Amino acid sequence: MKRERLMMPLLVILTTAALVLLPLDRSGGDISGTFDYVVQFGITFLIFAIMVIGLNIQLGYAGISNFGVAGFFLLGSYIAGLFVVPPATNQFVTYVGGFAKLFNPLPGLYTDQWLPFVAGTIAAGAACGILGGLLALLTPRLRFDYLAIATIGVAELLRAVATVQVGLVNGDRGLIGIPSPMQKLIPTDMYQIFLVVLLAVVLAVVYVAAERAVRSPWGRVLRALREDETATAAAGKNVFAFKTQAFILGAVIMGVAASFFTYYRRGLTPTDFEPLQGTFLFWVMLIVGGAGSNKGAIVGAYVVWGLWIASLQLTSYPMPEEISSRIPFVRFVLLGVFFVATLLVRPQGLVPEDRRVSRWVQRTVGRGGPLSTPAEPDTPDAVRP
Amino acid sequence: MLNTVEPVGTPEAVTAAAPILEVVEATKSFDGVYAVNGCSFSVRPGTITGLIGPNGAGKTTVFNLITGFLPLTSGQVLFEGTGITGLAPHSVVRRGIVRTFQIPREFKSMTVLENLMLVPHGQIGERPWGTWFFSKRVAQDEDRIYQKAVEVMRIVQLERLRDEFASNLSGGQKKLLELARTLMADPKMILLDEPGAGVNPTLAKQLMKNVESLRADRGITFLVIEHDMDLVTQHCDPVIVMSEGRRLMEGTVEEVKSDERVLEAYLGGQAVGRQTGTRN
Amino acid sequence: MTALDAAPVESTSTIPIRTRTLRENVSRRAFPVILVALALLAAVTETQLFVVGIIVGSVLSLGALGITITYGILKFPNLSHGLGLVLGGYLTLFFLTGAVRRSAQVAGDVNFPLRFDQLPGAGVKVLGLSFGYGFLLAVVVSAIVSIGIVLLLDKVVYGRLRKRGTGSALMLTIVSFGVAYIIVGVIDIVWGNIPRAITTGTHPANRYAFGILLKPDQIFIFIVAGVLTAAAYFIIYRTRMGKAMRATTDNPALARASGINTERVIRWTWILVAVLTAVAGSLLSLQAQLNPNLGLALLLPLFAAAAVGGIGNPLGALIGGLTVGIAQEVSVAFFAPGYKIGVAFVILAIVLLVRPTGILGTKE
Repeated sequence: MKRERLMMPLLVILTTAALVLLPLDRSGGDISGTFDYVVQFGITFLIFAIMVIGLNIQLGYAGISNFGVAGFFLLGSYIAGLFVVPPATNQFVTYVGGFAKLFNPLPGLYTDQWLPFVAGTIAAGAACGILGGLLALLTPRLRFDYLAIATIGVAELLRAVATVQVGLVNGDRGLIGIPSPMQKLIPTDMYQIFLVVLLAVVLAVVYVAAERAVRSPWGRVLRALREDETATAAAGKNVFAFKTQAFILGAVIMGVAASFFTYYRRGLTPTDFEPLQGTFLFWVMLIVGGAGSNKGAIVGAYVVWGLWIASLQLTSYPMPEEISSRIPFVRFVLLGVFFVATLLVRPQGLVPEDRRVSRWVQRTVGRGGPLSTPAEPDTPDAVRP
Repeated sequence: MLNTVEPVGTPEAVTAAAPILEVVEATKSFDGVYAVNGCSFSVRPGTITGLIGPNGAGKTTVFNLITGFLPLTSGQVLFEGTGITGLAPHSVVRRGIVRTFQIPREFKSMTVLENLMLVPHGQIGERPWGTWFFSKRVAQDEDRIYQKAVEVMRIVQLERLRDEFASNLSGGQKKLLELARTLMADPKMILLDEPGAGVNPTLAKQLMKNVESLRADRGITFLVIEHDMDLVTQHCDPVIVMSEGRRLMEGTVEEVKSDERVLEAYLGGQAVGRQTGTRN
Repeated sequence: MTALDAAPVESTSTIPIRTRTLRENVSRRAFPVILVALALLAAVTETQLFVVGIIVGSVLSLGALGITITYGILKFPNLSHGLGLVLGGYLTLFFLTGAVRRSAQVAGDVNFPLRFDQLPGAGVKVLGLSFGYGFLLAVVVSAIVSIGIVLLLDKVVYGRLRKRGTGSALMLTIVSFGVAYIIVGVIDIVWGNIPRAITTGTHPANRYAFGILLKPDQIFIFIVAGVLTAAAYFIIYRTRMGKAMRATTDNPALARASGINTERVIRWTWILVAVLTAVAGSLLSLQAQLNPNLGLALLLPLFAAAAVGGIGNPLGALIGGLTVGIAQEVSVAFFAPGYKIGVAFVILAIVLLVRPTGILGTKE
C-alpha cells in the first residue's frame, strides 16, 4: 500500500531528473541551453495535459472510447491556424483562411496581437465540439465498439482530406508562418516563458472546470451510466444525452488545446497528426496517470511526455549505429508495453480516481446532516410520509 | 412536483377509476420467436397486482415492453389513458412508471446515499454549466434531495447503511435499495420484478410491508412479478396469470388457485411444484 | 472498480437502438437491392476497376472475417487486427528473403540465411507469377508463427483480463489498441519504417474479355482468398468446433452451461483468426508495399466491411469485404486515390445510420 503511494512521486522525480540531467550531460553543462529545453518541454507538456483532461472527460468520466483523438487534434489545430495565418501570397501555397484580417467586428476592439487568437481558440473548440456532436449522432447510442471504429475512421479521414484536398490547407506542405499570440509585444527571449505562464493559466481554468463538472450531480450520473447504462436509464436518465454532453465537452477541451499547439508550433503538416503522436500518446498519458482522475491526467502527461522526450537524448550517446538508430522505435515498444502493463497490473493508474462523487453531498453530510431527523413535514419539496 | 398522486388511491375510487395501465395486444418477437404474443391486460390504480406464470411465460419481457427497454413488435401500452408505446426508458420513468430488476442493478461503486440522490429528475447540477455558474442553486438542490433521500432511507430502513458502498450490501438490502431508488423518482406506479427472489423471508416480508404501506399512504400502484405463492397470496389482488406470451386469466388469488387452466399451464411448463413453494 | 471496468457488453446491449419501424422495413429490403444495383452499374461502367475491386475485396473479406470472428467470440473489436495483417506480411517477407533492416537510418538489409527463396528452385517463377514456391512455404511458416504470437498474446494479455473478470469489452478494446502499437514498434525495429515490396521484377498483366487487364498475381490472390474463405466457412458451419464457436457467439453463458469448454473455443478461434490474418497479410503484400502504418489505416476498411454484413456474422464479412473493396476501387474513377479511406468511412457511416445491425442483421 505504502509502496504504491511512493510510485507517483518517484516517477515524477525520475522524469524530472531525466529531463534536466540528460540534456545537461549531452550539452556538456550548458545550463541556459538546458533551461530552454526544459521550458520547451513545459509548453508542450501543458498543451498535452489540457488535451488529456479532454480525453479524461470522455473516457474516464463517461467511458466513451475516443480512439481518434488525432482527428480532433488535427481539426482544432487547422481551424485555429486558418484563423490566424496570413492570407496565401505565393502561388504554390494554397489554402483557404487568412480570417484574421476579416475578423474585425468592433474596430475599436480589434487588435491583431490577441483577438484573432482568442477567436481561433473559440473556433477550434467549437469545431471539435461539432465534430463530437456529429459522431454522437452517427454512432447508435455511442456504443463503444461502433464509436471506436468511427473515431479511428474520422481521424484517418481528416488526415486524408488535409493531405489530398487541393486548395484547402496546402496538402503535404501544410500551413506555415502562423503567428503566435502577443508575439510582437514580448521580447523574443521571454516569449517561451510567457507561453508557459499563459498555458498554465489555461490549464488551471480547464482543470477547475473539469473538476467542478464531475464532482457534481452531472458527474454522479456519468459515474452511474459508466457502471450500468440500463440501470441508469431505469432511474430516468437520458443516457445518450449525458454521454453526448461528456463527449462534446471533452472534444471542446481538445480543440482548445489543439489551438495552442498551433500557436506554439507556428507550422502544421498532416504528418503531425499520425495516430501514434496524435492519439496513442494521449491514451498512454491518461491510462498511466489514472483514467477518471484529472490530477492523474496531468501527472500522466508529465511522466509519459517527459520520458518520451528525454529518452530521445539517448540516441546521441556513442553506440553502434545499428542500435542508436533503433532507439526511437524501441520507445514505441516500451510505450506500448508500459500501456498494456498498466492496464493489466494497475488499471487505476498512478492517481486513482476519487471514489466519492458530489462535493455538495460531502458538504451537506459533513455539516452534520441529520441522520435520524426526518425531513420537515411542511417543506414543500420533501417526501410526504 | 413531487408527490403528485391524486386521491385516486382512496378505496372508493379504486373500483370506479379507469385503469392506470393498459397493455393492448402487446407482441414481441425475437427473430421470429414470440416471447410475448398478443398479451392484453390492465391494472387498476391503487392495487398491488400480481403477475405470475411459469418460467418463460414472458413476464419480464412484458416489463421490458412497458418500460421501453424493448421496442414492441406490435401492440400498445397506455398509461393513464395516453400511449407510452415506443417511449425511451427515461421518458417512461418521467411519466411515472418505475421498475426494478430481477437481479438488482445497484451502482456498486457508489454509496447508498449517492445511489438515491442520483435519481431525481431535473437537477440543476445535472448540467455541467449548472455546476460552473449556479453553484448556490445546486447546493440548495442537493440539500433538498439529500433530505428526500434520508426520508426514503428511513422508509425502507437503510439509514444505517447511508455511506456504505452498494457493492457491500446483502442481496435483500440491494432489493430494498432498488425499491428506495424507485421512490426517489416519485412514481405513480412501480413494477417489481421478483422482489422475493434471493431474499431471506424476513427481509422479503419487510419489503412487502413497505409495498403495502406505500400503496396505502401514497396511493402508488404496484405490478409485481413473483414466484413465491405465499407472498402473492398475502399481498396481491388481483392476480394476472401469463402463459406462453399471453394473458391466461385474471382474478383473485383464490380464483386463480382453483382454475384448471392455471394448473395446466404450470404442469405444462416443466417447473411445477417449485413455483408454488417458498423460494429462497 | 476503475473507470475502465465500465460498460460490460450485457449492459450496453439492453437498451434498444431505436430505429423507426418504417425506416427499418424499408432499409431491410432496400439496402441489399441498392447495393446490388450499384454493383451492377459499376460492373458495366467501370469494369476494370470493378474487377480489381473484387480482388481487393477478397483480401478485405479475409481480414474482416477475422475481425468478425474475434468480435463474435471474444466480444470486442480487436484494434490490433490490421497490424496483425501487416505483421503476417512482414513475417512472410522474412521467411522468404531473411531480410532484416541493418539500421533505421542507412538503407540496406542484413539477410539471415534462414530463407526459403534459397531452396533449390524456390525462386523459379511460373505462370507469370511474381514468386516461386518459396513464397508459399513462407506463407505457411508465417501463419504458424502468427498462431504462436496470438496464443502467447492471449495467454499473457487477453486471457489474463478474462480470468481476472475485469475483462470488460471496453478494457479489452483499449488493451488491443496498446498491442497494436507494440507491433508497430517491433516492425519498425526489425524491418524499418520505409515501405517494402515483397517481390521484385516487373510482371505484365494479361488481357481478358471486356478489356480487363489482370496480373497473374491478382488471380492468385483471388483464388487463395476464395479457397481460404470457403475453408473458414466449412470450419465454422460444418465442424463440431465451428458449432461450438457459433454457440459461444450467440450466448456464452448458455454455451458454458451446456458443457462447451469456452476457453478451448477461444483458443481455436485465435488459431483460425491467426491463419486468416497471416494469409490475408501475405496476399496484401503481393498487391501493395508493406509499411507499419498500413496496419491502422486498414482498420477502417476492415471494420466497415465487417459492419456492412453485421459485426459478428461470418457470412456478412464476405459481402462486406467485397462491397468495400469494389467501392474503394471504383471510387478512383471519381475521386483522388487518397480518398479511398473516405469511401470506407462513408460506407461505415451509412451502415451505422441506416442499418446498424448490418445487411444480414444480428440478434439483439
